[in-house]
Amino acid sequence: MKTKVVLFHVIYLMSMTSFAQRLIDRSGEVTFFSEAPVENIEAVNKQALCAMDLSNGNIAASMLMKSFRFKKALMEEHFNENYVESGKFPKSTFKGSIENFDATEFQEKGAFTKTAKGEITIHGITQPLETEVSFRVDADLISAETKFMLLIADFDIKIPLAVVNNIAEEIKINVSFQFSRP
Amino acid sequence: MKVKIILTLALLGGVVIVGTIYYQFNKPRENVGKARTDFRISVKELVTSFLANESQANEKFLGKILEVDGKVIQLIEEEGSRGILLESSTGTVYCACEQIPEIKIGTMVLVKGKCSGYLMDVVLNDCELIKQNLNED
Repeated sequence: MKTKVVLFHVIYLMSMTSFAQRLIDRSGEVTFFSEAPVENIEAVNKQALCAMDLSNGNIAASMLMKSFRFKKALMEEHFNENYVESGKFPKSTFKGSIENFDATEFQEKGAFTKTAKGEITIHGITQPLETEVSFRVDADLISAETKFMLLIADFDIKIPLAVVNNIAEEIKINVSFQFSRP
Repeated sequence: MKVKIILTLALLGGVVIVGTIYYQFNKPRENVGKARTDFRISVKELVTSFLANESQANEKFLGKILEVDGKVIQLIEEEGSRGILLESSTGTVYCACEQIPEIKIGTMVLVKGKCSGYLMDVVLNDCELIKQNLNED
């Protein structure tokens, strides 16, 4: 009986420590901008999920394409049905790690920039991605922000000739996550 | 006389076409609350089908209007992101909504929303609370 109790506490503590190393945000914000001659299009997804492992700097993020909100319902419909085909490819993901990761940097208050390197998958196509991430460590929060550009053509997304002036070839992506500190 | 009729018809036709285009371009978001429900399902069944075979569940539920009943375990209100978390023994369903209704944690509710897929939980968007204080089975 006693060993059982001890064992339980050991397992409990172990799970606590491994859990504490992993930061999770389920309501991250991903925004994209398309700047084209005819119109600018902006959409935001406030349900992006990101897990960051503070023991090794590994990052995994994913989001559902159907959670992007546009100003106009018709744009959202076209985005989902014609461009990213979210019925076939519901998720976009990023898997990678922080270059030159140093766990001690994440233990004290401060702001610093790191390079994250990995692979991004959109519309079923995987491409390498390298981006600068600005981190801010506060008393009870760690925030991470990054921006990068993606070429629509890299992800096999076809834009019909009729709207070629409405949609940019290169899309600006802003990403922001906030993690509660363990 | 004939010319007048043709002109009037052409004008009317033009107005209808322009009106339709204008309406299409500015049409409001689909009102999930008023939309026809495709599936009525429990949190447990919904989560189980996503865990068992995600691509099959996506095919069945993505973009569909679901009515889901389950137990409220958390009300999430973070910057820009609001929702109700429903739980079962197999997993959770996140119901994102504009306003968090006045409900108590631990009660059984019925929520209607549009299925967006599966991340950490099954995600329903544009949710509305249909019933609360359902009797526990």
